[in-house]
Amino acid sequence: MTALYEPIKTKLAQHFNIPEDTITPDTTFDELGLDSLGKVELLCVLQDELGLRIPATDALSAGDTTFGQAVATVEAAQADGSAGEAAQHGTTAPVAGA
Amino acid sequence: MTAHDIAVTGLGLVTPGGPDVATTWEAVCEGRATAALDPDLGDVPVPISCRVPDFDARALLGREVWRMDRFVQLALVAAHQAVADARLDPASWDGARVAVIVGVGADSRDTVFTASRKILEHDYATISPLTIPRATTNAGAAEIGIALGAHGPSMAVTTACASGATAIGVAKDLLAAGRCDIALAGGAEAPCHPLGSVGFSQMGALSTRLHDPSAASRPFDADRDGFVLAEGAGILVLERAADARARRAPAQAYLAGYGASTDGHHYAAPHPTGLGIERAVTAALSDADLHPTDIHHVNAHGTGTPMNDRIEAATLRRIFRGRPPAVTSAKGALGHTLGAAGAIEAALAVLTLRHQTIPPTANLHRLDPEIDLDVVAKEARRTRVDALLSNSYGFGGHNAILVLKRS
Repeated sequence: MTALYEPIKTKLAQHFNIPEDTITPDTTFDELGLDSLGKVELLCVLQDELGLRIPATDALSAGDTTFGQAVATVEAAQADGSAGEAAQHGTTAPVAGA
Repeated sequence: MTAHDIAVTGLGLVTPGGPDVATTWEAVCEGRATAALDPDLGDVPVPISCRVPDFDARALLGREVWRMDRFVQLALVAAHQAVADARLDPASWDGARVAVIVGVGADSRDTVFTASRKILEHDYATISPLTIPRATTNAGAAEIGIALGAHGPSMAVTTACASGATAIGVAKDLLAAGRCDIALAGGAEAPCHPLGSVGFSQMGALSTRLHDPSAASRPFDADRDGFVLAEGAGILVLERAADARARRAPAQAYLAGYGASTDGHHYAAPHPTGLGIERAVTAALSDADLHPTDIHHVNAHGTGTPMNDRIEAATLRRIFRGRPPAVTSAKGALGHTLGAAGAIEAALAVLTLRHQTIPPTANLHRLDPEIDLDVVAKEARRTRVDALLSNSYGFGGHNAILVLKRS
């Protein structure tokens, strides 16, 4: 388990009113009830409340993305120094229906 | 009864008096003032508000509340209450014939304020993608439609502090025109935010009774000095009276008339002679096919601002030819819920008709000597009330008057 797994899980549970024990590395965002806007919301919460710098990404846009994959994406961004600059310009996860 | 009479078959209330109809009615009848210092307003000049007690949106609405601004949560809870009170089952109704009209004075202050701050701080990446969906004025009507499967005409109407009453009037017209069979109509507002507080404070509209917050909201009192910001929601279920009878739903009261007008005078001050109010009352009485002598009670707008109360009182004396019926203002107990007020007060008016009881105006100890009205004070008055007016006025000069009759 990586260092960011538990803090991100806690934020996910708190902000989206999800029981923590239902969140596993293999749980998909579809199963968690988060649509595309929800996933962008999660990225914003992580940036705002945990101070993580996350690049513009569509890595979470697929419905079958798992929570474990999302955490790995965020951790990869922290290891990439260019993430901070990208984050200043906002996330670009696709949103349908606007 | 006229062919256009509309039955009120359900009520939903979420107010500073309580998170449901029964506790709100009890608080208002007791004249229980709800204003208090509000630590969430921070160090603004007037940190007083009336908040809904014991409101747990997550427990009431489930997980999805994270998507909703507080005014939407309040509206949705009130709508659920109203539908249950009307003994309607959204799982089996014809949703295409159900309308939703929610009055809102202003869209979400918290959502807009938070995003604005982040933009100023160039913190763009943390701005919620739900900033726009949460803040749009129609969010309350939309979420009610989603939650309850209401697929008829739906909209937000906004006439500032008359919005809740306007929404009910618009719903009456939709029902009378046959555009829907059931209407969920009312108002919601969550203005207890530094942005709302400072904005109204700068206008000089708020009471500054910081030394005695619970006594700050005192409509018609000689020592009134402004209103108190409050949050809340009221939703009514309306149906054509014949339809209600056909499904054996008891009418709690009849919405007999609606009248609206615009002062066209000043954005924030009522017309000095109450001309717009008089036009709206006359229109509402005509719509109800009633005369001033048929009206036994007026649920006044009564904000507690010195000018509004005085002009409203003088106008009522003129309309009723010097003999206005007993008047009360719920804002002494509940504060001013802005866009929700007209709907909350319409629901209280229904309860007045049902219980034949006029609640007192909380905090009214010494009537302004320039206000020559029979204002109910100190304790609730048991009396015959066959028909009444519920008055609402909003910035911009909007006036909305509802006539309600005993069922």
